[in-house]
Amino acid sequence: MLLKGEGIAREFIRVSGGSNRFTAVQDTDIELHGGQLTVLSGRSGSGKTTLLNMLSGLLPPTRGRVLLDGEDIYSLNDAKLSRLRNRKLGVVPQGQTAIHSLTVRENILLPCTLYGNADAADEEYAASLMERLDIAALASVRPAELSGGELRRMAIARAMIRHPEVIFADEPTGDLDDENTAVVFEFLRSAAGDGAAVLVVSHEAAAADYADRRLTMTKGEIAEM
Amino acid sequence: MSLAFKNLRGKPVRTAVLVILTVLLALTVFAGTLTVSSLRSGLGSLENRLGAEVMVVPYEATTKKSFENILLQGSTGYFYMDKSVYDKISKTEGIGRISEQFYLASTSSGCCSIPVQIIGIDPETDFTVQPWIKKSFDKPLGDCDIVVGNDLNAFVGDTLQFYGTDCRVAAKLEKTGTSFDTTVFTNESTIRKMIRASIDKGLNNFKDIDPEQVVSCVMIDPAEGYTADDVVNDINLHIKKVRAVRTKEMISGVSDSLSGVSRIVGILIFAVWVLGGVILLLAFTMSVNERRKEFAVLRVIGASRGRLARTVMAEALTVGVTGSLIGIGLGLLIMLPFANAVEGLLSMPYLLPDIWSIAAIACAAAAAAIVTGAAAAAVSAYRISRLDTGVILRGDN
Amino acid sequence: MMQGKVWYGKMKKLSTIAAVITAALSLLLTIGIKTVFPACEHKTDTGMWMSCHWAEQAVFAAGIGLCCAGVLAVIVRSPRVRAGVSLGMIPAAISAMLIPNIFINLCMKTDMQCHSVMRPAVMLICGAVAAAAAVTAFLSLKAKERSE
Repeated sequence: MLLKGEGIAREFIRVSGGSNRFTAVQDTDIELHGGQLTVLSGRSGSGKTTLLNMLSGLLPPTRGRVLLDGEDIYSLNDAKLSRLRNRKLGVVPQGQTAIHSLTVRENILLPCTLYGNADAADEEYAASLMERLDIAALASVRPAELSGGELRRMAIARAMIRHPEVIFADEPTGDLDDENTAVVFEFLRSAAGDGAAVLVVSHEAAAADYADRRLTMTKGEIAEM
Repeated sequence: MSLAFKNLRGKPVRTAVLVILTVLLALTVFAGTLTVSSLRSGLGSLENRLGAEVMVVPYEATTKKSFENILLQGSTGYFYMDKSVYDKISKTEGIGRISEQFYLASTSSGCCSIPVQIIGIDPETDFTVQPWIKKSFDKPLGDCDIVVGNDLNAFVGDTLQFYGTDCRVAAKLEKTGTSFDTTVFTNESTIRKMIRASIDKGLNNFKDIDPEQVVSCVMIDPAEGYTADDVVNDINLHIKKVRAVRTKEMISGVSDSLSGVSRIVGILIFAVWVLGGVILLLAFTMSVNERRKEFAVLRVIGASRGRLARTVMAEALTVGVTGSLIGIGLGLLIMLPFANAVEGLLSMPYLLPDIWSIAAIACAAAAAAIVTGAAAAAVSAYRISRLDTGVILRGDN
Repeated sequence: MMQGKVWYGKMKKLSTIAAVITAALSLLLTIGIKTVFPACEHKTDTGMWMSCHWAEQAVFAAGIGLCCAGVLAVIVRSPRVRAGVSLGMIPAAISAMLIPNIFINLCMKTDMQCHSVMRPAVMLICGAVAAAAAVTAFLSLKAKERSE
């Protein structure tokens, strides 16, 4: 399993502020391998999230290609690309990302119910994820009653439910205490141990302890650390 | 349960507001359209029921408006002219069919009766009432047989007494939505007997008439080659103390008010529709906007753009179908049982169309409400499907 | 899966709401028959009331009875009693529904107020009372089942 960015770059047009064209990510080559946890750090505004969005199929690059096992994912139409995101890519976005009308359990199973119904195996896996992330007691609670750490753990379980081949996590521990941070990193570490490629955007010092590989980003350019 | 349905359930107040708006929309369109269509069929029914192109009545009956009030407003009254007039009229050039009618009003004496208009016809010559009676009663009207309008609280086999004459209800007519619904029809000899009795009891305003020598009204259809205008002009020119009127002219007042009411109802429907449409548009836009992040999350976990649009549309359709079903249900519960009350309120001929037309109007009104809601939501659905996921997800951090 | 106790509480709460609606509809009937949708008001020449007036009085009396039963159903705590009272209200409401023009004759012309307004209003509201009472009874019986 290999996710590869080939010379991907992203330019944005600024609506206001004078100089109108601005390059968030310079032409970048990046490879993510199965079983490897990569930590990407850098100052805010350096293009980390843009890079992650391009790699996770959410933002088409201005130039370059993103290949998953040799297939250019942006050559797919929206329906197929969406399906691929659903099956193979797990994303833990920044901030709070719960669907408020669903319970915690329903939120976690949403990637399964989006295309059909959750089967018994899905239910079982969801239960074990909640168990491991220590949110089992909250299964039938609605997100409005959850704390930040619980919501984040819920989002991680949701990203994991389809056994994705690549997992992206954008600042997954940004607003968590040390204890929660450790739980989250250990969990991502074990996912990599199970064979997934994991990319974590984080400037948490602790992240280094779990990383197989560390990258840093400055003004849209990436470098090994 | 689908995501759309759960979203609706998750925000009960917002959903209730949207549903109530749709209810109002469907209800207004349905009730308004049904009212106009009932007025139209009432007018059509009135034209049919008058049945003759020309009517001749005593001159005083037209100046006092009593004639129009009886036929159009459902008030009771009577007037008479000498029978010789009928003979003169029948000799006028251009007469095709001709028949006389006799009017009488029952008194409101006794505990339970209300003045009722009684119209006597000549079974030999009548061409206006009998074709219609035939639908409910296909034998000739015998003496002391009466046929009652649909709005009279009497049933076949009942006996009603008018001026001491016991009359058997031989048939009950179909609803016409006009003043004829509260009219009692009988034959010539029976009504002459009643007129005589009313005079004897001192209950008739015409004290010194001979019931055998009078008629109230003459109904005429012009012969081929003659127009109603020819006949009317001829009679008004040559025969004194009577007045010939074209029925078309008489009901022109009714059709004028019908078009007035139609216009008001049309404006009302349009106003509610525009207002409802705008509010629904705003409501859906707000509802989708405040969930932009949720929709972005759906994109992240693999929902296609089409899927987002479908979710929004499914919410709108669920609201639309629920709301319009309730609206139509309410409309039926108001408009059908209270049809007579609406008729009284409008004081115009008002006849509910047949069940299939009502069903068609209901379907059309429901469709209008659903389509309005769907169109209002389509704007949001389109915008949400163009959502720039990356930008939204980093937006609030 | 809802737990037994939660479910029982929910049914009981729903049956209370249904009972309140039943009582409110009964009150609407009782007050409405004297204010919003009364029978024809004018007396006839002889100074006597027309028969529709007596139908109005009868509906008013039935309405008072329904109100009392309705209030009783709201205030009693036992789901069993509530179900019983509500079940009793159903035939009472249906009888009240049949008063105008079936038990007591109304006026001669059906375009008069007693036919065009009072009768449909009484029939609709009594129908609604019967339906609401049936729902109350059903929910109370469900609550009772679970409480045992």
